[in-house]
Amino acid sequence: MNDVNGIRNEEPEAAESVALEATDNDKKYDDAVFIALELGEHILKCGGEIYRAEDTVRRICKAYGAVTVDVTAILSVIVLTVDFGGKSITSSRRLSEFGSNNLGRLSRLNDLSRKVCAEKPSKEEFLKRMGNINGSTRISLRRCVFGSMFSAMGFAIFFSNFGQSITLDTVWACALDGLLAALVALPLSLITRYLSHTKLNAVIAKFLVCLLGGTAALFLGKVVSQCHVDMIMIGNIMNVIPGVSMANAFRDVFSGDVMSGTLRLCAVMVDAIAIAFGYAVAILLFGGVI
Amino acid sequence: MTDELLRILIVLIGSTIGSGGLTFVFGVEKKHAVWAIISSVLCCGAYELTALCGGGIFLSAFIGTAVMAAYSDIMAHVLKVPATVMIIIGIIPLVPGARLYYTMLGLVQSDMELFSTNGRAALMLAAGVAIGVIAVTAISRPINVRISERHQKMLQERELERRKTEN
Repeated sequence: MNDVNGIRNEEPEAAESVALEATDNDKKYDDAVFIALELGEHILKCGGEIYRAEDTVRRICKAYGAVTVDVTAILSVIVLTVDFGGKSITSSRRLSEFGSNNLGRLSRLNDLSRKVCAEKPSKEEFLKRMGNINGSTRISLRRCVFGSMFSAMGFAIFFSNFGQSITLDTVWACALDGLLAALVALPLSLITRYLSHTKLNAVIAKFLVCLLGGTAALFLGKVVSQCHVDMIMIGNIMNVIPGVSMANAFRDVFSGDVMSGTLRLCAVMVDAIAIAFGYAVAILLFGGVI
Repeated sequence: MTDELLRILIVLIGSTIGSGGLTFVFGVEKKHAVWAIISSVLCCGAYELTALCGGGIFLSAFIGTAVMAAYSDIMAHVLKVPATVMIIIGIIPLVPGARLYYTMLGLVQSDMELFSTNGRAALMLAAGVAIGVIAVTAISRPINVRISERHQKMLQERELERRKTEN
């Protein structure tokens, strides 16, 4: 466009293209921060370690052009400040729940983070991929219930050597304990799944499930005299015990995330107390263990 | 001797079925499930072998966890999956579920001997597992970082070569 002297004035167009580029870059940086935090959050929710979540956030921001990345993650929040060479963005994500481990989703998210670093997709494309992963790695109720039953059976057999010698005569008693533990695990896993969808406090829910489990085991012990009530209870304890959190707590503390490791250990202790209380109250209410 | 072997067989069968169930509960992908179950069986096997050779609870737990964690780190590279997947499945048999149950039972029934024996054993198990995980992570983390840096360097060199040939 020419000005009053007939001289071509290129500044408004150049300014317009610079403004457009700035808007594009702004969108790219906003997308990067969103994608990084979204992946970090989901990795922590699926049972990933703190260092893995922080490393993922760092790599993604650097892939999108960050100069410096400061990220801190603990179990309840991720805080991120990124400097994209002049533009600085600070964002945070509050994590509302943790401990529902989904290892299949964790490994898919790990793959996705590598692809995101290589391809740098937009937010919309990323959300589509996340939707696909969340859909395909959902643990169905049937899978969860069968898994709990097999797990209870397996660990009732595993611990059957505790405090007694195993001979060819007592092997069948181990198998019986396993089957009865699986029988108790069926309603327990359904109730656990149902309670996880309600607003009930997680610790109280665990206590209630253990109380019911203890009661069912004691009842079966009175009905089927040859079984060991201890083993049925222990098989079902292994389904609720926070072994995963315990392992991750040690790994976090060793990685330098002492705060997160300590938080996790506290959560493990609270869970262990709830489990112990649940079974203790069942034993106190419904008589001694046979 | 046959009773001892039978006991170990029952333990291994129990851990296979138990960790198999857990692969369902934790949503482990089918192609990785077998390797995760092997990690759990290795852990139990190493624990029992050490106990058979006279090692106490702590040493057996340490060696069982260390063997399992080393296997998990190696398979993580082979299968391109986070080591967490196999460590989580592998560690569950060593989590002191039965010991905690008997500790609680001792408290409820005022049987202090049961309480203290199993409480002590539970702490030793947990300590052995913790030190085992830490020891293997201490060795594997620097190795993983080196491998990852080398991989990044290789990718950057390939990218540079690609740009050169395009120009």
